[in-house]
Amino acid sequence: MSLSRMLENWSRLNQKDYYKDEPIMWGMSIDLNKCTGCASCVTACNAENNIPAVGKEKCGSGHTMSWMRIERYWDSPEGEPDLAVEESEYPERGAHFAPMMCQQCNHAPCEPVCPVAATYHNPDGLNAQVYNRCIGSRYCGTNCPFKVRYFNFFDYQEDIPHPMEMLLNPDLTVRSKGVMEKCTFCVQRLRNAKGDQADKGIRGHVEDGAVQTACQQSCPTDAIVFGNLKDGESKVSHAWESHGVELNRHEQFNAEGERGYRVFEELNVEPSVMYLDRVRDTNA
Amino acid sequence: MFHLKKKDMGRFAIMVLALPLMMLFAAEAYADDVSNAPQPFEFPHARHAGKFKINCMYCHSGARRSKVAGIPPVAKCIGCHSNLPSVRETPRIKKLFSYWEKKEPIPWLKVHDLPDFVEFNHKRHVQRFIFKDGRSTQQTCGMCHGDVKTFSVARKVKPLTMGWCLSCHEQFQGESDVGLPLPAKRWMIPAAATDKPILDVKHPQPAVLDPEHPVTMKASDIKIMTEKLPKSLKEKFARAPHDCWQCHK
Repeated sequence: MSLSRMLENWSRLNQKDYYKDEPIMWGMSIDLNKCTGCASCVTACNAENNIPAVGKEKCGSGHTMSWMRIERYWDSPEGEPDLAVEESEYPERGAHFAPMMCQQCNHAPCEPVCPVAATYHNPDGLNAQVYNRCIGSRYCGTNCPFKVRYFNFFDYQEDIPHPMEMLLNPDLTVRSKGVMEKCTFCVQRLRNAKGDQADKGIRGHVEDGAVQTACQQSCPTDAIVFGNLKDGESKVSHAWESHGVELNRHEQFNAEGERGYRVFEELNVEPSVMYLDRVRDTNA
Repeated sequence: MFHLKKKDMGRFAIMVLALPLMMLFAAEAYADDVSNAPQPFEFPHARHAGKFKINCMYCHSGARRSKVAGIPPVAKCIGCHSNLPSVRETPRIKKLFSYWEKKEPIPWLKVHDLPDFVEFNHKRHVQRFIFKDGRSTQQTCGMCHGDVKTFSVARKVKPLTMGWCLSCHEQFQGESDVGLPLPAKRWMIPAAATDKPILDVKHPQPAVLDPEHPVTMKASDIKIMTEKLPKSLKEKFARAPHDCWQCHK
């Protein structure tokens, strides 16, 4: 990476309204109060995006492939569920689930380090990954603070027995060995939705609800809301607004009743995904 | 001082000998010419599209409404051919009917097979050129598929590479309904900011292309065209990233 490229990136970083004129910026809101940790989003994501099932053994050796994962946390510091509370019918055991996928950072740390520019920021505010350009240096994965980039250590798709390859989604590359991959906000669906709008003669606007990501579609509790942040009428921008989360901030200042935050905001990576903090009824 | 040992010399000789062989194999592996591809039987495009002037989209009906143009099912062939007793006993039609009686699809080989990572949308192009601009079907399809109406068997005549796609997209003159340039143009113009003619025509262009086709435009013309744009858009061109995700998936 040359010095001029670095300086250019730096000036882009400081130019906060770089994508001001773009009509679309995809964003997400995840309500952790609603999330039950059922992992149906993980299953839906694997099915939609041709993600291989690597199995227990390869997961153990650090070759996990799962664009979306459910992170589980316990309230008690020892890492053990607090089983003392047994009075009520459904006792609160202090589990906390956070669905974690690519946060589509607007100041993505993975982008400037790619030696071949296989990952870049697209005008819709997505952190794009071009598989055929990727040379597998894995620098982006190392630089990602969320650890949501996954590397193809093997050619998993070769193991699929014959008729089962018909299950693969044709709108998406079947990645091969040596390629980094990550959540794309189901860009194939976004692309199709934009195409449908273009058929009607509308460009630069996608109706709210016209497109759903696979995880959002499968979520039984509607914890995930997805849409265009630039569209003031969209559900997701309402959610961001009503929970006091704004772009271009290192820290959110939530008023009473607001519980929005973004993960690792202090790193100034500008994620496009907002989480709503879980509220506990401690008196139960 | 660098000098070769005897053992290394042997290795060097093997490499020198093996290189042309390897290149030959590589050339074989990447050969695009499927004109001799063993199709189950010949489908004479020259007869259907040329002599009888059947619209391309009668059989490839997906082209106007989906990403893939599609290969028609056997039923579509039979729909016409069951009413054409004059050719019923020819060898090709006999073969066609044998598939119909076996209730099996015909295992056609794909001639225009793009790599997995390429997104090409037939609908976008067909809707734009045929239904909006009112160009003829054969001319529009011919931009990428060649002059199919003269082919006895469909074959790939255009390279269908990324550079070849860009040869059109860099100089595309269209404007969308809201007055903004089409997305392709918005994100690809910076690459065209040279004074050289962009399309260095190395591949034979069939006669279906008319002289007004955008590939005849030069980069200097594009520069003039870009000058006319409002300032806000012009600035965007100068620094806009190319959106790979328009065409790569």
